[in-house]
Amino acid sequence: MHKTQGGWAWFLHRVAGIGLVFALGIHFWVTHYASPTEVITFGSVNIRLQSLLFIVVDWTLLSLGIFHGLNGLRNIIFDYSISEKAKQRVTWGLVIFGVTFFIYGAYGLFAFMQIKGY
Amino acid sequence: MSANQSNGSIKFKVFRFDPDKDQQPYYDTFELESRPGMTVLEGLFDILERQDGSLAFRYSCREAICGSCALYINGAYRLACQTQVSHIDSDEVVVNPLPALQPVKDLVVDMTPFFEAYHAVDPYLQPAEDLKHVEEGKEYYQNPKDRKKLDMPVDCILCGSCYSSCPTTWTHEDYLGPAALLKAYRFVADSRDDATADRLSTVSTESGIWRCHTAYNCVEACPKDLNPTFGIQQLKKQTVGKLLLGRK
Amino acid sequence: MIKHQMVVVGAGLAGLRAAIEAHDRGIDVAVISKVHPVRSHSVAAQGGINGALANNPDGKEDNPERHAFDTVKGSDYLADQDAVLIMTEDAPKVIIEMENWGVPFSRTPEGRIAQRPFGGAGFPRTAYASDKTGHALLHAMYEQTVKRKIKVYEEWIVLSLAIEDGQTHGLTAMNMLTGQVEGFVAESVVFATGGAGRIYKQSTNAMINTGFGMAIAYKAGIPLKDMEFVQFHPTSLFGTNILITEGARGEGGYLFNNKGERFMEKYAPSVMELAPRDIVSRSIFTEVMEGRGFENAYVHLDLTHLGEEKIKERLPGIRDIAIHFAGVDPVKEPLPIQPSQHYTMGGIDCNADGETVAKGFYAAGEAACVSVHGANRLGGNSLLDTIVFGKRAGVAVAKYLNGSNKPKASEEAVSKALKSMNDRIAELKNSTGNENPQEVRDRLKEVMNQKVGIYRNKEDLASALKEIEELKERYKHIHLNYKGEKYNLDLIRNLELEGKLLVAEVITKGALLREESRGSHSRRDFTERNDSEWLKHTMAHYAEEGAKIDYKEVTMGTWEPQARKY
Repeated sequence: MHKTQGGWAWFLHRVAGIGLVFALGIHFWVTHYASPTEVITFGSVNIRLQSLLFIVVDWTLLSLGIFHGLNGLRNIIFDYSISEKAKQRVTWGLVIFGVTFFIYGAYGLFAFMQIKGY
Repeated sequence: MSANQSNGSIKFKVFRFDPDKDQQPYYDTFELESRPGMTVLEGLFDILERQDGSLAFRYSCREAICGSCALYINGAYRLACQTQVSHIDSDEVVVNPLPALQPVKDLVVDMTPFFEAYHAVDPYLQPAEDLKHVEEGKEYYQNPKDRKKLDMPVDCILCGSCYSSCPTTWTHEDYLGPAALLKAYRFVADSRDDATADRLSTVSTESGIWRCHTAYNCVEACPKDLNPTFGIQQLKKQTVGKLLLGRK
Repeated sequence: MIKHQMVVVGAGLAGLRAAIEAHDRGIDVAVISKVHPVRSHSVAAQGGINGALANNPDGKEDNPERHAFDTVKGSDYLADQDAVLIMTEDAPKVIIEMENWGVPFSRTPEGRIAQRPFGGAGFPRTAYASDKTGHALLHAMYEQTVKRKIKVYEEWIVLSLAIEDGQTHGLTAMNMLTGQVEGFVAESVVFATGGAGRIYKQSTNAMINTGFGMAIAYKAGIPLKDMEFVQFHPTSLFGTNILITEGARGEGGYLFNNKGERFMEKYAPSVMELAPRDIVSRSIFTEVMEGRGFENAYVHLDLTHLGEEKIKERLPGIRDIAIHFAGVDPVKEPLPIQPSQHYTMGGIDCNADGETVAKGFYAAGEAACVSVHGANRLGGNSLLDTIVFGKRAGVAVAKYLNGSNKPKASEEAVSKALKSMNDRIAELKNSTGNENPQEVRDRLKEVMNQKVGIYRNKEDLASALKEIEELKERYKHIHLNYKGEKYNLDLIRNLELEGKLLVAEVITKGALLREESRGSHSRRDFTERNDSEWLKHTMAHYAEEGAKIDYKEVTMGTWEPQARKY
């Protein structure tokens, strides 16, 4: 039997959950409440993303969201009786899916960093 | 109207099914004489003895300690012996077997998966070689504070209500379920037991503690008012503690 | 045919303990039980288990001899003193062994096993796990059988024994889930089938305690001993007769009549509520009969002065029972209690090793009569009896099976028993008799309650015996209401009914013949104990026409019979 199989996933799920509360809080505050009169345009977003801090916040939000969402999906699938092999396939499938979308999202943010010249 | 007020008689609507004979389950309704303090189990005996000798149900102690007669009665998990007909808020008593377990006959279900899970957690004390005895050959020390930690988990009567009520067991046939996990916790919490590391690795699997999503159905279902979810959460906490801090 | 070297019948404390011991000595053992092991009646024991551990500051002077003396005096000198000493000397050892096996005993502040006072005991020597001691012990015992992977045939009911020429060959049993009857070939069989409380209308016993095991052994030619000694527990909940532990009085509970008097003052002034059970039961019965009960049926057990904290810590189980089954919270109100059948002192005649007259056939626990309880059992001695003598039976069987002239079980003997049992079942199923078995059962319980109860007299007993004989006759013409195979409770309960009738007959006959009052056997017409004529065990032998009774010497020892005053 695997030692503490599933323990890390459970723990990180909780950590990601707590992280998401903060990251989403910042995200909502900045986009909707920080300057209420602002009309969101590509330009305004571009200006905000000149700050490394916002890039880090958005990267965090992206990674936590992807992990928490996909691990949640994995949990739902695991609630059904499926074979060990199927469990492994599901896990790896979701990892590949998650990593791909993280890279895709991170790449978008990376473009703004290039503009700034980091 | 409450069940017991209807002119000294009471209706029992009872689940009937013999998988070998019947295409599908059905209900039989029996009209019984009611009396003060009458329990659902007494009603089932009245049916068996005076109306229908073919009724199958489990019974033993009739005082809520042996765990035989857990049933699903008027939409709730209850011990038939501990449930007074007059306390059921309906004009008929509807008696079903424990859901999510395979029917054998009528109210008797196959408890095999429940006890398989119980067996899987090594449910017996594993004391340390060097555990301190009061004196050589005497009892192990256990101070009253440590003993108090066992009050809740040792009271389990293995009736199966929690197992039957747990949404994870409905979909996952290998899930250990609340009772077996509470049993594992009972030994982890016991100051005399030395097998915590093994016990945690046994329950810390994708068919073990991590499948508990704290639905609290088990807590609601338990006829002894125990809290299996608390036990499971304690197991999770200890497992993660071990992962993070390398605690033995 | 299923084969094992040893088959234990009954999965309560005595049966499981015997199986564990034999298993550890290399015997291929299996357990047969009509319920899952943890549903056995041992689970319902509440107050505790006696042993001279001397853990309580008030019990420092306690020792096995004093325990033995209390037991012998409590038994009204009918117990065999050598067996009692064996039990009390083993007591501390088996309690410690059970603790080492995981029983969550309640603790003293120093972390030792806690002990509370119990009736008839000179010291607080009853070890306990709150008020669920039987539950704690049985679960731990079952856990040990799980650890050893001992095979248990759950929901199999044993129907008959294959004993030929004084030699055990096996038994027949029905798989309740399928209705199939199978033969079990075994060189050795241990009966640990429990008591017979359910032949009485009012009993604290589980519904499964029908005395069927005793009856099977009796029919197979093993005598039943001292069956007329039936214990009535003083405090059962009025209505359901669920047990309210003696521990409630051990912790300081009072008994009151409707005049608000602590009436035990009149009956046992030195020990009050903690007199032995026979005395307290008779006292309550007398109070009610003389018009000092409530609703002419019960008296009050008052715990309110103990306080909420003590009740919740020491007696949580009986608080739950009182609330659920009587709607009374003992923290706030006194409990309505009445005496009720509780324990069968008599049983299958055996010695301290569980050996009976048949080679390879053993008995232990409440089903057996060693005898250590004599005419009245002390509270806390029954759990002890089950474990001590269960273990000893396991040792004895292992010795027997590993011995030099190894016994051999005959398959033919079992086949014969199997065929006759299948015939018997077919006969019952095909019976078109016009007797309703339920009427027989109801009447039997009524008769036992009314005429073979706490107080007895010749007239009642003779009329009870006559009626039981009539019921036996009626039983021959019963019909079944259900003839199916699977989980046929109608069939099983009506097979058991024959056993109930046999056991009831033995109890009643023994009681009628015993013209004295001793322990739980109280005759209105013979109110004194008569040692010169009746210091002897009653032995009942099965015969087609009815029980044959003879008598056997009591093994005396250090303690000569004295007047039994408390």
